[in-house]
Amino acid sequence: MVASTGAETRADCVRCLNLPRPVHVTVDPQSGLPITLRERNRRHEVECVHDSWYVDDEWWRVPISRHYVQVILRDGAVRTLFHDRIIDRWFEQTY
Amino acid sequence: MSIACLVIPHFALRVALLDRPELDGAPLVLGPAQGGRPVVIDATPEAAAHGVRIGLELREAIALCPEAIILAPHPVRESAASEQIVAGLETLSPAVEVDARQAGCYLVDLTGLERRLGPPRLATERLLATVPTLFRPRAGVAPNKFTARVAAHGAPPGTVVIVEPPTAQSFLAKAPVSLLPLAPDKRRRLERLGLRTLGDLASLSPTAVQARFGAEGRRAWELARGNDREPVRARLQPETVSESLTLPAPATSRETVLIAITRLVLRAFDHAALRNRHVRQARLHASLEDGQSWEQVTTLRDPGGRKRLIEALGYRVQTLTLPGPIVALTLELSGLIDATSRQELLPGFHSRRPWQLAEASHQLKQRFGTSGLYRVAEVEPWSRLPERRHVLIAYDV
Repeated sequence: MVASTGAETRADCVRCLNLPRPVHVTVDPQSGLPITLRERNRRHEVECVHDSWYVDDEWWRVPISRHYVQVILRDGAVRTLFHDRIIDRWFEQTY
Repeated sequence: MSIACLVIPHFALRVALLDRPELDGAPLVLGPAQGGRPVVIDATPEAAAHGVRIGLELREAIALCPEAIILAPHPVRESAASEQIVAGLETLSPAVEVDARQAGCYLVDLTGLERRLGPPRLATERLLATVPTLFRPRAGVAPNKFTARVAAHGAPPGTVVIVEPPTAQSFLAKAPVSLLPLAPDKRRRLERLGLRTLGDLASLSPTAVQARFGAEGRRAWELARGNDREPVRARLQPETVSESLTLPAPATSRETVLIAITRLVLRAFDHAALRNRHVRQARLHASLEDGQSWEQVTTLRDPGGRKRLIEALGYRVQTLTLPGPIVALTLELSGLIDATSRQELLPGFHSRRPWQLAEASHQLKQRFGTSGLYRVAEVEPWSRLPERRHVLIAYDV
């Protein structure tokens, strides 16, 4: 058994990791897939969509419905974005 | 929930007036600390009316306002004055927070104190009465910290501005963005975008603000809409031992200062509170002959006893450039822990890293209040939602 350190457990001692970050995404009106991504005054063009999948969970309390898209940008960077289908907003998150 | 905010604008200059109250109302300019770049650190409204502003070269400030009086900062006096103010406020409320971002700004939680202090206006007037009028304090009362701070900044000296919850958002809408707790470059960027008031910022979409200014921008947006859930954090009362010594003659040599420090350390370790205990941090205040002061904080790598502390302070003094003849010294020891001995392991038996990390964490926590060291912990590694898989936990929890 691990002995208690005696330290007070406080909310500021725990930090979430890999929280979704809101991003501005322009989508192709036909396919609904991202074509450009804007963050911190920089615009990145999407070269191709590498993969996409859906995550639907927790329908029994606060439903979560996400459409994840892994894209390759024109500069070669790989990013994972998702469209929150409940609130209709785009986020970036490493999967 | 009612939070009162007391603000003393130009705190360092107001503290300087305690010695020379006849200067109240004169154009005052705060110069740099000993050896600092000769620029204006702060200026009273009387000096600002002549065009003196923060960051201006002192010679330019004098050219703009020849009757300006340049005062030097006095950190020891400032911390003593702040301590006195907090002690006065703590006689009325147990939850008093000293705003780390702005000297002379104090937040007081009035929740549950109605029966003792009366309604918020009366309670805040009682808080104001604990501060000397020479400081020209002003106060604001609002449902949260940020709104209370904005209200206090807009209040005339000696008065209280009360913001009722339903009017908080419309009240904030007219306030300038300069009151937001943002880095100066971000504040300038907001102004360059034509966002001059909190109302301008609050009218934007939160996603757009966050995409452009990051998490700090999102927080600013929330504050501009009057959403501030930060509670008033009463200060912790760290256990300290303090010793003072007035030198028989002003000391200019390092050797004399070292002898005085040695005596202070020995006297401090004679206190019952330090029996069989070690210290992590020593704060040395020096009062100079010309009325100014100087202070230095030494954080030990490992907690140490009297011998270790004298050695560490000795090294510090050897590299020190004395700012002037010293007339008195005060040594304040904090981070008191029980003296422990450590059994070293034979090489190859155990990695020393965890122990070293724990020590580094303790040392950082003592120096900066928080260690900033975290470790990754698994929460739900199987989760389909990436943010649920791992968290960062403070290293020393």
